[in-house]
Amino acid sequence: MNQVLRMQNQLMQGFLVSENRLKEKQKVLSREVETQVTAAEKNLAQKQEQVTSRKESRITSIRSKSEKTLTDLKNYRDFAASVCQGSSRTAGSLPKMGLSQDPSGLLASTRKNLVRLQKDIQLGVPIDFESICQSVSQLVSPAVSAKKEVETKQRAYLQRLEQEQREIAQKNEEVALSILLMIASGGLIVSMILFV
Amino acid sequence: MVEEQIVEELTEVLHQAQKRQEEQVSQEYKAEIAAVEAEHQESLHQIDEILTEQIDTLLTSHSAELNDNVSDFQQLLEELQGAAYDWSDEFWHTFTPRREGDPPACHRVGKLRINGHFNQLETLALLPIIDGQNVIFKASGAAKDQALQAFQSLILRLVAASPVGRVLLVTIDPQGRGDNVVGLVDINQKETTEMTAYIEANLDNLLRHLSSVEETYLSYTCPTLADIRSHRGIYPIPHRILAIANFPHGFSTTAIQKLAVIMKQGAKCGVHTVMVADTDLATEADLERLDNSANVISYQQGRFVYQNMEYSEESPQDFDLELDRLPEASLAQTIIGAVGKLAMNHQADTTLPLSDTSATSAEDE
Repeated sequence: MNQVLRMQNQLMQGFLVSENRLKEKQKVLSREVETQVTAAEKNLAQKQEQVTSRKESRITSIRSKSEKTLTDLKNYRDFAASVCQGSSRTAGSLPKMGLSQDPSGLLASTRKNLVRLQKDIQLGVPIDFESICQSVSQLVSPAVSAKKEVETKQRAYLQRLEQEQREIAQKNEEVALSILLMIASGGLIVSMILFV
Repeated sequence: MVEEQIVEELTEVLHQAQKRQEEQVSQEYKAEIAAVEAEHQESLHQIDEILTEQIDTLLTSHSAELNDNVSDFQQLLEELQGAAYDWSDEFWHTFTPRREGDPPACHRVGKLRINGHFNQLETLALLPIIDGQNVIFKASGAAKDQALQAFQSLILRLVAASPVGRVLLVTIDPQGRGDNVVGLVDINQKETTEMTAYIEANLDNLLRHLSSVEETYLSYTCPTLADIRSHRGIYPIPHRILAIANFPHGFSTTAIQKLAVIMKQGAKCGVHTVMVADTDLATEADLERLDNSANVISYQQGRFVYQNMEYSEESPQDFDLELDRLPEASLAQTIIGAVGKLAMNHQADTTLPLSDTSATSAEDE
């Protein structure tokens, strides 16, 4: 083969070898890139999961606070109802329970504070949820405590009342029995006299 | 009850505040996720930039290396001059035939584009005819015209790029009057039977020439003309190009056998065959016999390919071969005229003609 053809052959071979080498390098680079992209996507998924988890946690916390505040309000309402109306068995008995605070006074002051809070909210003073929850809970807290106290004392009062009633009934039974014994004894004595 | 109303209102307020708070939290985390995604996109962008930069660097260094090699090769091609220049090159407009030196060892037949994964290497499709290879263009139908153009272009190039008198043409053009061999030789139109005899006579002449060369010049130490050229620095006799258009028109079985012998043994004696074969007419067996001792360019699946290219792992698998066409008629005439004029003078001086009279005279005389 002459020099020109030999060189041309070398040129073509060199070109193809170089192209194949380039292709191989490109494959290696592509594999590296694929690894990097996979790592980046994994990192993204991890961060997204963390953010979602934090979000769910905060939403749960918000709902929990809301639930607690609503429960406080409900307790306050129940307390107010019990103060205003009382239960059938304890009607008019609150004053006799020896509560640490005057329920009516407590109710009036709580009502006053809540009305003020409502006005503040309407005026946009405590605008955020946290503040509203905190304020409501703080304001109804004495009433809620009082409700608990009332409930406890109501239970104690009712127990005491039942105990007293039981004692009275027992005493009545004893008196009736004594009378019956006395009548029976009297009858027996009369019968013996008549027999003699 | 007042408390009932207060609780209802506060409950409503609380629900609204809760809803607002949840929306706000959702917005905050949505923004946070958007930031995380933006950060991710940025990192992807950086990865892409680094990759692009690395690939650009690789491609640049690859191209630089390739350009260096191409540049070196181009310099080498310059030495081939007319054997490598495109017909549109300025060289041909100021063309003067050479008087001295050897015929170029290889000649262009067209352009070869090798498609790599990233780049395309464009080079010349070179054939080592004088270096000892025959050439067969195989085509049929419309592609045959294209093959005939490439054949004519190659014959013209072989004649024009060689020093006057160093290459002699033996033309066989059964369907034309030599015009299929670029009008270099005028052959009288003959009847079919006469043509067959004419072809066989030419082939016989060449066979005798082969015997004569073998007896006169070749030896155990120098078994080919190329070896003699290596020893003495000059070819002792001109090369003969057997140019056959439209094979197998006019070829008898005997003529085909003789042609096969010439193609097989001709190279060592400086007889080289360049032919166009009509694949619709030539039998597989005949073509196969001739193919074994030639570079074959055949038309397959809508394009020309090197039929017997040796494939290796590094061989070009994907390439386009664009065959040369004849130059414009005026330029072809100018070149033929210049060569012919010098050949006449040369013939007068040295009795070495452009066309091999010994071959053509067999029938003409």
